[in-house]
Amino acid sequence: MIDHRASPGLGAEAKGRVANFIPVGEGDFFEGATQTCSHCTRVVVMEPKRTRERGHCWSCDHYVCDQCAIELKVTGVCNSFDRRIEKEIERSKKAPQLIIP
Amino acid sequence: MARRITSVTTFLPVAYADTVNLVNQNYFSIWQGGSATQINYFHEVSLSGQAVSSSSPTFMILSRDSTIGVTVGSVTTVDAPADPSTAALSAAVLVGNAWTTAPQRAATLHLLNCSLNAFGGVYFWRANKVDEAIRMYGASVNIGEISLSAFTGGTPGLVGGHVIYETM
Repeated sequence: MIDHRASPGLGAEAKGRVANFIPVGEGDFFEGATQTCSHCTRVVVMEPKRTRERGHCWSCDHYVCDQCAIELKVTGVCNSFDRRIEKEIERSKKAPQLIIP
Repeated sequence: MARRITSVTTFLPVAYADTVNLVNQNYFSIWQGGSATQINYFHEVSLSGQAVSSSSPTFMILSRDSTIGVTVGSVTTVDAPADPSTAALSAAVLVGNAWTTAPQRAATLHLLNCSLNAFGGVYFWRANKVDEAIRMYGASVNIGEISLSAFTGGTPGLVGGHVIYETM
């Protein structure tokens, strides 16, 4: 939610100065649904007028952003953040322990 | 587990490019895992503009860090449990905006764009369920530390706000 009803706001002129910026001008109020990509964990504001299919990983059964959806399509491998955490935990468990004689 | 709230009453963000040292007390805060296997969820970010006199485009970015902070210094952040009966963790998340070795925001791991005009603007984001929360794992670069700081391109104004996170 971005509330610029009592502010000069950030209009289209500010667009391009920073990536993934939503222009909300003077006197405007923006409220939008967001979803978090389960692979890269970026938060994505949903475009309500979008008609193209959104990315979805059937392995982790969650929304994935367009960038990760392409990667998923190419590799076919679910690389979710939770899965990476699990792998990391497994790896740390298997790491050689210091043996004290 | 228990949720905690990091708040800053008022501060003036200084804009920094990615992979540049964040100078003490010129950014909202960073959060660094308390141990190598700790998992943290970020549930909410709220920022309210407090600039008093002129338009102040402020491009706040919640991002993972490519260089982590070392040794917390004199901070102006307040970090308190949401529930008063919360027990202290043995390895609590390290929170603050002053570090002996400065953290650096990663260029490719921005998580949330919290841009607002600090002259009267308000920004708010909340994960609508736990699946949507932003995750942080461990205490190392790229996944174990998250920062909230201003990006270049605007003229930042005074801001106050809070962030809610939870150690799992």
